[in-house]
Amino acid sequence: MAGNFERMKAARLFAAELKATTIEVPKKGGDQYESQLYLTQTGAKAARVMIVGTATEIEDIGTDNNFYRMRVSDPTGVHFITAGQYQQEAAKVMQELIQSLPVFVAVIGKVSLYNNGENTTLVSIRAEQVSIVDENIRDTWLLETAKATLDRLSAFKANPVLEQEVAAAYQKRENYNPTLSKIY
Amino acid sequence: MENLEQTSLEIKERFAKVNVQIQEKDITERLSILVNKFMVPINEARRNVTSHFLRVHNINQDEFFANAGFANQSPVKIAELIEDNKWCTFNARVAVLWEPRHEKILQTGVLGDETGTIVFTTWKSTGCSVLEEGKCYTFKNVVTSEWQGRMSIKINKNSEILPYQGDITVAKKLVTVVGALVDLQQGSGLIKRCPECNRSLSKGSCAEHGRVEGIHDLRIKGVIDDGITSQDVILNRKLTEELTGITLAKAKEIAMESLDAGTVADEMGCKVIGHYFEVTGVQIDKNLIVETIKPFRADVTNQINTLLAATEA
Repeated sequence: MAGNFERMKAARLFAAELKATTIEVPKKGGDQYESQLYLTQTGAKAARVMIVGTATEIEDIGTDNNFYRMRVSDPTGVHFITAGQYQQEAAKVMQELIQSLPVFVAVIGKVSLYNNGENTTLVSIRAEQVSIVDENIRDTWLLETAKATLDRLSAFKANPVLEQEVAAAYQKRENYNPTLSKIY
Repeated sequence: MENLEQTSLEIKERFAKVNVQIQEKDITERLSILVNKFMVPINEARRNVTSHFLRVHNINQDEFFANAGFANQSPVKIAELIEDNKWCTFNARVAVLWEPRHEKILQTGVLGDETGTIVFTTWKSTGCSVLEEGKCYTFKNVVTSEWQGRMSIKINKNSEILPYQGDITVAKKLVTVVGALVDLQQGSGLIKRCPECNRSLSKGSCAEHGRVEGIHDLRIKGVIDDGITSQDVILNRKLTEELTGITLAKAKEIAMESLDAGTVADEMGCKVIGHYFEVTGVQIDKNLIVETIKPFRADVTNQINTLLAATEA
């Protein structure tokens, strides 16, 4: 790997925005370690996200190995978080959390899309890190994410190229505009 | 042609500085043959002609280059060193010495003055004197070099390092970042360091000194991320203990119990990952060496109200 490889920043996205994300950004190629980016409806291009919310359900859905799926809800919807044998630390934390639901958690992970073959694309986050947090951190995250979303929206409106790219990608797009009052 | 005359004039003046007078005509003639007939690039031609006259007049090359061009430069400040490949002279304190990473390197470390800091390297082949950490020196005729956007200083055989009598306070450029701690990297938690060079061991052996009996230490190599930028941060043992509540003794206990030093980092991760911090420290390369770290709490209610007001407007 190149010495000056740049870490993917963890985008702050609400569940509503992430859930509506169905578009992969084409890779540039030439770098085998290049991350898969996803284009959201506010024009964010993200591979890694950080979310904070309430973990409400954790199941072991693995057959041979443990494979955990966790539902984390924020005020706009639900995130699906997964962790399996290649995310051992996160899986371990999730397994321990089963006993203490509901609980505020912070999750940092990579976005992945699954197509279930029926024209429905499911978005999940493959956890890299999961940890218990308090209400204060949840609030800080909400504020930060609200700000980040608003910033993206205004940057998006000021950038016709990006706007076209998103419009082309999401032709049947509903008018995505989460209102702050709903979030708060 | 203009170039030729300019160059020969420069060569002439250069030799004049060591009290050797050369006819400009002779220089131009040689240059012109090289450039016009043999199509040698002007820089190469200049070099060739210069060394020819050095040989003719029996001048020592090293002395010539040391004395002719740069000897009487007035000292500059480190913050002014922003141009690549520039000869300069300055006074500085040796802030840190690092373990050399190559057998040909004599010393490497950081020099600092009131305006900033800069990385330096001295080479064994230059017969340069050994510097002491914390002492002040005058660095004469050293060359700047730029690599990946960062400046450093190369000390070559024409450089001169003299003790400097004055007192120099090294500027500490503190950087503050706010964001969530999103990852603990390899080498966090309970580590062992080489007793000789203090470098961290990997699988019980030091990159320089081989298999050694390591000394236990704690540290956190983390990533602070605010969604737009990320910053690698390094916390020393004291800060790590304060932040996580896990002391070195406790860490050893945890590692012993699980037969795995990695457990310590995992336990630390559970306590700090996803938390927001305000971190202040000194930037060295891509890492921020942390001096203070405290939990960051936003004034959520107020700021949400401001955001709401702005959106509804």
